[in-house]
Amino acid sequence: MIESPIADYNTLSNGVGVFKTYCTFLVGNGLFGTEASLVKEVSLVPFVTPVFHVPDAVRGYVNLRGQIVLVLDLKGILLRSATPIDDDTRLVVFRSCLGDPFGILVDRIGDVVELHDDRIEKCATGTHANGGEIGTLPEVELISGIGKLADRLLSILDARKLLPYIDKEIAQCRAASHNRE
Amino acid sequence: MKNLRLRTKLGLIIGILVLSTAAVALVGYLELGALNRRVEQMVETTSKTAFLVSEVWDNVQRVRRLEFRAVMTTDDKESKEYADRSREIAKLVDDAFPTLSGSIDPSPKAPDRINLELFHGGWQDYRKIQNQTLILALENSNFKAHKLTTGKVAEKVTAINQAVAAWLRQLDKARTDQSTANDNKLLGTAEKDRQALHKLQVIAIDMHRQLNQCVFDVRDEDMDRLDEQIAAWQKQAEALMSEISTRSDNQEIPWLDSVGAAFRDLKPLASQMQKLLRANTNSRSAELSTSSNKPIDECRAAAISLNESLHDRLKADMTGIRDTTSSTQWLMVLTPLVGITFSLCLAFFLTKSITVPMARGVKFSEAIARGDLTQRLNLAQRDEVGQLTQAIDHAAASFSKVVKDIRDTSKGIDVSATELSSVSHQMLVQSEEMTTQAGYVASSTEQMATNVSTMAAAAEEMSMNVMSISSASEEISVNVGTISSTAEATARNVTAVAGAIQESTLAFEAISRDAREGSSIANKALSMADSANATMKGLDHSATEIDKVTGTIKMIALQTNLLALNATIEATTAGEAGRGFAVVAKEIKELANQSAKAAEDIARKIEGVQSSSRDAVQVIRAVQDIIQTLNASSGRIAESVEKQSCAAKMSAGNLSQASKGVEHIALSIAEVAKGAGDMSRNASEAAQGATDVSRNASEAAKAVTDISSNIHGVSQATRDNTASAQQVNAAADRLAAIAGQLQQLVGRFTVEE
Repeated sequence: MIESPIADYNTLSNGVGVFKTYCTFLVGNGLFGTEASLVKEVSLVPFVTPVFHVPDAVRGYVNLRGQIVLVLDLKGILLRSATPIDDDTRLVVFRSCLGDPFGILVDRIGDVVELHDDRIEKCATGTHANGGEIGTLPEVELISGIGKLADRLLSILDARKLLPYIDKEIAQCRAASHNRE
Repeated sequence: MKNLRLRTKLGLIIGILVLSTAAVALVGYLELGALNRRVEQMVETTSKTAFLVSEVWDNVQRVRRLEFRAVMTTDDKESKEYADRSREIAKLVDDAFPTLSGSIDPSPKAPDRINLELFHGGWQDYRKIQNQTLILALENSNFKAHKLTTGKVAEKVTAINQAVAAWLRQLDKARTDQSTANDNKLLGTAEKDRQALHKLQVIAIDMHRQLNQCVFDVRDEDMDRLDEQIAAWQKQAEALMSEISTRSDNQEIPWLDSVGAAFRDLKPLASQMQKLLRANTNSRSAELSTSSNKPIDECRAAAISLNESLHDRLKADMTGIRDTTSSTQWLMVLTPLVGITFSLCLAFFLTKSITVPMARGVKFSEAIARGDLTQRLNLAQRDEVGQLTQAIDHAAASFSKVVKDIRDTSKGIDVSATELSSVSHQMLVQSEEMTTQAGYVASSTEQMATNVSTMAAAAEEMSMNVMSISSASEEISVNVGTISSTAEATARNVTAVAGAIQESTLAFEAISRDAREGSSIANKALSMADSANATMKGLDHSATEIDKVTGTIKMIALQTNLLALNATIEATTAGEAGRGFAVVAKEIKELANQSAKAAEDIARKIEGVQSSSRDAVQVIRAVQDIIQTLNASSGRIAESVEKQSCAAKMSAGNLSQASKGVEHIALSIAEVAKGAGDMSRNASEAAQGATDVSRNASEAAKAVTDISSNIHGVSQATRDNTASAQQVNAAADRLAAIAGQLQQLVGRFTVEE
C-alpha cells in the first residue's frame, strides 16, 4: 500500500471551496484519483470472463457477490497496454448512479486523501502526471484536473466520463470492423 | 605473674570483665526496680487520687448548677427533672467520698486527710441545705401565685367590674329617669348605691393590685398586714353589699347576685393566694441557695488544697525519679569503665608475657635457618609458653647433635671413599701389571713351544699333526668360547626381545581395547547425529507449517486493508456523519498494515530458522562423515593392531624357537667341546703310539696349550678385572664427590664441638 500523507489543508486555503475526498490508485507509474463519493467499493479481482469483439480496454465481466460488473482496464485506456492481474491488482467499483455497474482495474490501490479545491488545477489541455502526449483523446476527456499532494501530483479522473468514452470506443470499433467487411 | 598458666591469666581477665558487666546489670536492675516503684506510686495512687478529687469537685459544681436551674425555672416538670438529676449526682458524690477516703493517707494529722475532712464536712452541710432548697424549688409558689392573680383573680375582678359597670349604667339611666322625674329620695338612694358600687370597684381593684404587688415582693412581716388588709377589705365589701342589698330592688338582684358571687369566689382565691404568698418558696429557695455558698466555698478550698498537695507530691516523685535515673546512669557508666581499665592493664601484662617469647622465638628460628645451631632460647617462664620454649630448645639440641653425627659420618665416608679410590687405583695398576705379566708369560710359553717343536724332531710329523690337531682343537675351543659368549649374548638379547614383545603385546591389547571403545562411541555419536537429523527435519516441517499460517495472516491483513478502504469510501459518502467512521477505518487500515508487517517479519524469521537448520543439517552430515571415517580408521587400527599382535605372537613363537635353537647351539657346543676333548684325547692317544718324546712333546704341547689357554683366560679375566676396577674407581670417585657434597651441606651448620 502506498502511504500518501493527507493534504496539508491548514495552509494555502482561501477559505472558499470545499474539501473533497479522493480514492487514489497507481496505474503504470502515475498516481490517479477519483472522487470517493462515486466509488462503491474496492475489491480483489475475481475471475474475469472475457467479452469478444470489444476494444482491449474492456476486459470483460466479473461476478461480484451476485452482481455482474463490467471491468474496464484503465491502463488499457490511458497507456494502451494491458494490466497484468497479480496479487496487488484491485478492482475499483463505481456506484450505480453513474449507470450500469462497472469498475476499473488498477495496478495498486493507494490511500483515501482529502484535498481542498484550491489545491486542484483544472486542466483543459490535458498534460497529466505520466508526461504523455498533449492532446490525446482519452486524457482530455477523462482527466478533470491535477491535484497537489504534499510530495506528488494526483491526476483526478472524472468517473462519470468513463462509460460514455467506452461507448464511443465500442462504436468506433464496430464501425472499423464494418468497414473492414 | 610470669609463671601462671595462660589459662589462669585469661580467666582472670575475663572474670574481671564479667564481674563489671554483672555489677552494671545488678545496678541497673535495682535502680530500675526503684524507678518502677516510684512511677507506679505516681500513676496508681497520686494521680488517680488527684483525678478523683477533681471529678468529685466537678460533680459538686454540677449539683449546684442543677439546683439553681431547679430553683429558677418556672415549669414544675422541668424543676422536678433538674431536682432529680441534682439528687442523682449528689448521690454519686456521696459514693465517691469513701473511695477517696481510702486512697488518702489515713493518719489524722496528715494535711491531706484534714483537707478531705473539710471537703466532706462542707459537702454534708451543703447537702442539708440542698434538700430543703430542692423541696422549696419544686413548690414554685410565687409563680403559682402570679398565675393565680393574672388568671382567676383577674377574671373575678373583671367580672366584678363588668357587673358593677353595668349596674352603674343602669343606675345612671335610672338616675336620668329619676332626675327627670325629680324624685330626690330615689336620687339619694341611687347616689348612695353608686357610691357604694364605686367603693366596691375600688376595693376589688385595690385587692387585685395589692395581691399583684405582693406576688414577687413580699416579706414575712408584711404577710400579716396583708392578711389583715384583705380581711378588712372583704368585710368592707360584705358590708357594702349588704347595704346595697337592703336598698336595692328586684331589678338589681341579678347584678347583686353576680357581684356577691364574684366576691364570694374571690375569698377562697384570696386565701389561696395568701397561703401561696406565705409559702414564698421561690424567694426562700433562692435565699437558701445563696446561703449554701459558704459550705461550697469551703469545699472548693479543701479540694484545691488537696489537689495542690497531690500535685506537689507528684512533682516530688518526678524529682525523685529524675535523681534516681541520673544516679543510675552515672553508676552504669563508671562501673564498666573501672572494670575495662582493670582488665586492659591485665591484658597488657599478659600479652607482654606472650609476645616477648614469640619475638625471641622468631630470632631463634632465623638463626637456625642461617645454620647456627648453637643458639638456645633459655626462657625462665614456667607457663605454657615457657614449656614451649623449653621443648624448642630440646629440639634444637637434639637436631644439633644429629647434624654433628651426620658431619662425623660424612667425614668417615669421605675417608672410606678416598681409601676405596686408592684401593681401586691400586687394583687397576695391579691388573695392568698382571696383563703385562701375562703377556710376558705368553711370550715365554711360545718360546717353550718352539723348543718343544725342535725337541720333537723325530716325531715331527706326528707332533706337527698333533700340534695341528691341538691348534685346530685350540681354534675350536676359541671358537667355542666365542660362540658360547655369542650364544650368551644372543640368549640375553632374546630375553630382552621377549620382554619387549610382552610389553608391546600389552600395549597392543590396550590399543585394541581403546579402538573398540572408540568404535562404540562413534556408533553412539552416529545414532545421536541421526536423532539430531530427525529433529531438524521436524523443525523444518514446523517451519513450513508456520509459513502456511503466515500466509493466512498475510491474506487476512490484505482483506482487512481492503475492508478499511471500503469503509473509508462509505464514510466519505456518509459525509459529516461519517467522520468518526472514517477515523475507525483509518485505524483498521493501520492494524492491517501492522499485521502484514508482522507476517512478513515472521516469514523472514522462519526463513532464517530454516537456513540455520539447513546449515545445522549439513554440519551434522559432515560430523557423521567424520565419525564414519574415524570409525573406519579405528577399525583399521584395530585390524592392524590385531595383525601386530599376531605378528608379535608369531615373533614370540619364533623367539622361543630361537631360544630353543640357542639351547641346541649350546648343546652342540657342548658336544663340540666334548668332540674337541675327544679329538685331543685321540691326538694324545695317537701321540702315545709315538715315542716317549712325542708323548712328552705332546704332553708338553698339551701343557703349553693348557697354559696358553689359561693365560688367555687369565688375560681375559685380567681385562675383565681391569674393567671392573675402572668401574670401581669411577664409583669410588663418585662416592668421594658425594661425600664432599655432604660435607659441604653439613658444613653450613655450626655446632658446638
